[in-house]
Amino acid sequence: MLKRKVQPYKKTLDGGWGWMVIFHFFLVNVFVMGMTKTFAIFFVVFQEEFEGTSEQTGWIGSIMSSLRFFAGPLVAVICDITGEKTASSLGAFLVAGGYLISSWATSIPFLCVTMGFLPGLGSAFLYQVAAVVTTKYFKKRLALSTAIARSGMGLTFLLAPFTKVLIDLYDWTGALVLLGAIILHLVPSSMLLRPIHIKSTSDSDIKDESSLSPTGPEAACGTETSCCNEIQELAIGDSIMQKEQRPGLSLTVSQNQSKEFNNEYNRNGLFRKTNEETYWKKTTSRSCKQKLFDFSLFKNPFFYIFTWSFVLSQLAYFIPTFHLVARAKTLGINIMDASYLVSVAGIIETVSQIISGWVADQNWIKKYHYHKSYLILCGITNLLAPLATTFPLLMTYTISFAVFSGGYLALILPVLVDLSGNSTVQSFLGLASFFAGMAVLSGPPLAGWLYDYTQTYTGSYYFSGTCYLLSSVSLFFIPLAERWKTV
Amino acid sequence: MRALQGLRGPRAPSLPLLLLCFLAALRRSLEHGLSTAAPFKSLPVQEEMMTKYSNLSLESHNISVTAAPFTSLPVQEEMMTKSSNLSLESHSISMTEHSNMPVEKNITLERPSNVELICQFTPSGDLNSVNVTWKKGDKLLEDNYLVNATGGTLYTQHRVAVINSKQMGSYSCFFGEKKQQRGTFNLKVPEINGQNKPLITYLGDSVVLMCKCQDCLPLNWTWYGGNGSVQVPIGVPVNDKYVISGKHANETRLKITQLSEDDQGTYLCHAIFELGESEGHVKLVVLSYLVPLKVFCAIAAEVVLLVAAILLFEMYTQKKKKPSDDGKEFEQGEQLKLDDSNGIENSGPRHRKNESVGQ
Repeated sequence: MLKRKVQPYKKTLDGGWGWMVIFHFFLVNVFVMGMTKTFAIFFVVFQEEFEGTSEQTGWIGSIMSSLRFFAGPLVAVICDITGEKTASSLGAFLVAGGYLISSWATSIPFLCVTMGFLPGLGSAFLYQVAAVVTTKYFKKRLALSTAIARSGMGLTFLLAPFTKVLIDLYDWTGALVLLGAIILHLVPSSMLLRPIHIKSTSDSDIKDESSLSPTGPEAACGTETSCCNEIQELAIGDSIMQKEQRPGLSLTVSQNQSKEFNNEYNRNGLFRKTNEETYWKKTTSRSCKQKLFDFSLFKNPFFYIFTWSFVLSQLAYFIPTFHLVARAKTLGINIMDASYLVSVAGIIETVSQIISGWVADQNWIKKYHYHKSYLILCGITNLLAPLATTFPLLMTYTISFAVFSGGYLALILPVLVDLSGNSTVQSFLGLASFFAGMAVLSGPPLAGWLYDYTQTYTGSYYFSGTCYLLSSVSLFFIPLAERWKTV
Repeated sequence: MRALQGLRGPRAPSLPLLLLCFLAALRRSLEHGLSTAAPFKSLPVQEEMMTKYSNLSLESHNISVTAAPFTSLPVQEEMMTKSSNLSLESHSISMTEHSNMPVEKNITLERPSNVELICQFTPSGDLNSVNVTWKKGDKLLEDNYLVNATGGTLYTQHRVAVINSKQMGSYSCFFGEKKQQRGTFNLKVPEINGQNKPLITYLGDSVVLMCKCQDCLPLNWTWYGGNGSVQVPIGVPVNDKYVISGKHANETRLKITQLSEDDQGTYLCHAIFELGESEGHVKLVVLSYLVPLKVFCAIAAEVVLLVAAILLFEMYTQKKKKPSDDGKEFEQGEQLKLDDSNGIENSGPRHRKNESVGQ
């Protein structure tokens, strides 16, 4: 008897167990974003304790946030080897382990590895896997569900005072140990990521069709990570159907198949059913691996369009948020009002994400049109930002920027799914994140350099506005690229 | 000739007289020079003090006490006069005649200096009937102050030469007999900032306790440690466990290595000034590693429980679906067995057939 795992789901649920996946994604958002925000508190502590310069200490935070993007392709590869549950649990262990080891830190370079590298890598695993599984579980309500999950970022404001309390009670070593323990909660929540085996209609009708065109199985593998196995199964299935009359056929399958696979094939009667029911997690075939580390993405024009837009919008997003409080200070607004600005921005962004997600899901027009318009509006808002010189005007700018940025943030994942087409979402997102990591790494120093050069914050707003406008430009080329593809 | 001699005679004793006159003039000019900054005509300052301490800095502090029926918001302007560069800052507080709150001002002194304390009072009635007295603490001061009345406001000024801790304390000016209006100047040494929050450390670790003084330079620092009332000076004798250092003169650091439970408690850092002493507190708490470790284990156990619960749940749902699967598989298994047995049986006769054919 086959050792059977949990019955995997067969199609996009758009609800049901999908909400548990959203819950996990929500928790991931809370903790991963929370890590970045609480780092600001640890920054001060580490600087005092190890007497480093703020530049050196700042590297820890930069490594942590940029590695979250840089490790994208690696996550894609490992997820295909081990499956999503394991990859996500591995990520949680990495983050928790990084925090635990950091409690024994003796110097800043030590911290760069244990608090920058390890948690960064772990958060990449967690975030990307959660995002990809969400795209598998939701199709019609993808934008809304992503927006709900991303609202977890709004809860991170609770983590900062909590971390302060921990530091007061147990000093930073104890606080790191306890934060690591709390992040371990992501392990049980990763176990909620039940495997899902997306089948397009051509697969389920395999019994009825006698022959499948070679492009058929490939098209069916749109969102399937182990599509190469599908192809092999279907190819062999073709040959089996032709030789249906010979029972007890022992098939010679390629040497790299797992034993389970072999057992399956020896029972040809079972073959058709198990083909539908079993979800292969272990893809050991060499040819499949090459396909999954997908260099074909570089030939995909949509990849370039999306990456261009993604990188520039990430670069542009950091700067206004970084400089908001500082700008308020230079305009003579006191710290209490400035922090009020920040909290208002956070709340409005969360609400705007959910509304934008819901609107996009109604499918009145294609999602990338919304994305385009939000990016353009963000750009215009930022270009007009230097005009805000008093508190009410600054509040107006903050609110409008929060509305528009919430709008486009909710749509990143749905637009990616729309554009990914034949390649897997996993590798697409991985590679796009890799390039975005460069923007994340260079964003804060660039903003700082801009300020030092121009001695005002208006320069950074102009820069951010132009970046947003440029990022929307590539999205105008989507119809062109579609035509080019079909040609 | 005798007339000339007679003239010469009285000239000789006039030389010391001239010297005296010259000295007096000098004194008077000094007086005048010092008093130009003050808004008064003459100052009954003791000559002794003037000659001894004329090289000290002069600080002048102003309090005004008015009888106006409304309170205006306190206007803060610092008034300081220094003997050399004559910089002026004025500090005045006004209050009503009927207010019960005494007006207080804290003055921080680091080095010996001349301090001028000025009280202003605007009575509702007659100026001249108001009695003005000065007190240091509870002791009544007899001299060294001036009373002046101009334009309906009563000014009184008291000058103190502060050279050591005996002159520090609180000086009060009193107006009136029955309903006394009181203004108080508190002369203090600068305050030391220790650490407000207790420092949390672990056994075997080392910690640095720091005391800092803003804008002041103490002559010397000493550390005392102890539980309760017993205070033991630290650093004497010098050993590896305690190291006292300080990067700048306005701060002191005490590094304690190899912490143990006994090192817990409040540490005091004493700063010694010419005019007195001031101290700051630093509280040290020493925990053992077990304290956060216990919390960690509790949270980790909870996580393991959650994982186990989810695994059990998954196995339960799998078992629920298994009977239906078993049914299907059983069918297929049976079919398979039949197939296999068919195959074997078939192959057997076939084999024999072949064999027989072959033969």
